[in-house]
Amino acid sequence: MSKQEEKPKRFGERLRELRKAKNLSQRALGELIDIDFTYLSKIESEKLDFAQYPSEPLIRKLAEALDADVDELLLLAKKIPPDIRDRVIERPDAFRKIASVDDKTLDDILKQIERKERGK
Amino acid sequence: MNKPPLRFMRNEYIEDVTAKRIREYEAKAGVTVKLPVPVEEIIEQVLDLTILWDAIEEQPGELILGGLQAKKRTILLNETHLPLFNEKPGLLRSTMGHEAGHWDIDTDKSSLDGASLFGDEGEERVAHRHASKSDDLIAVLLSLAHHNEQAYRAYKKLTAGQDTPDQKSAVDRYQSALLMPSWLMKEAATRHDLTCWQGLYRFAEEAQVNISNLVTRLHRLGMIFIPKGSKRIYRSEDEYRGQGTLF
Repeated sequence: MSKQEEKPKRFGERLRELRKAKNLSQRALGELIDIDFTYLSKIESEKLDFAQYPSEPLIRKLAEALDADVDELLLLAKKIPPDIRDRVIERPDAFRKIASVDDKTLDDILKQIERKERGK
Repeated sequence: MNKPPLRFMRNEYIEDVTAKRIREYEAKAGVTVKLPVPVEEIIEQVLDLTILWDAIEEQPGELILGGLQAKKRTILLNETHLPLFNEKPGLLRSTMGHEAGHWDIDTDKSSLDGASLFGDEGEERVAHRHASKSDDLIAVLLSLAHHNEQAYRAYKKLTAGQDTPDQKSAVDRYQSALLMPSWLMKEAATRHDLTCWQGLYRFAEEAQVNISNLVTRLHRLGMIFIPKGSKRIYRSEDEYRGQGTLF
């Protein structure tokens, strides 16, 4: 995702946005994935202590119910999706480099990767 | 349409505002609203308010069901009273409608964006909703307060942040009109016998409102008349007067 397509940075805010786009109330979504709607309201308003923060399985359930990108939600919740985590462990040098470049350079690299993928 | 001061807010104005909100929701969600009115969805989708369940601190004797944090565009519902809300869904819906009313017709939105003279003080004042239980306590304290300094201080502390009578009247009429729009009430009335309590209870169940809220609304719409001190229901005040003059 480039800078131009910026999305809300907070997990709760994004979750609320996705739920509202589906016209689901907190109670309806809570029933759908079997969690308490009062807890859901706290997730959305970022009113949780660290220990109460949603687990990875719960984030996956939320993403599925809302037809959302699970990686996006996991990253917003500051959880690294397992496939990305594994890759970082395999190539820390590459990720360190990527983390240090500016947005424009990163967008150029992404375009190159996309061109390469299309050429396959 | 300019917003009149709460004190002079006529029923027609409130009915227009709530009808507009329902129509906006219908257009946005692509649905036709029926009873029970989806108040939570209207609050989120049309008023763009957030609903947060959290514990609200209460003074001894108080019962606070919810509040509005206008700067955060948040309706706060008191999680402590979740069992009461579960037992009485109509109470939850009227509390939500009441707080939505504070936002829609009571809050001066232009004052929300400006910086506070005192900087960011964190939690802003919450417009609390109190139940009759605390009103009783306030009445007792007030009568003591005339000759008791301690009671006066307790009274001031207890009433800080409460709705004024003007606010309470306007936002209660708002919640009533939002949950029970006139056109849906007239249509539903054809399915219920409004002259017996059993019929009214069924009507309240369909609209998911408290029976007292329903009776007040039907009275206001001129669809029933219950004489003071009586439990007998008439279709109108004229019918009641007519009966009275027969004898």
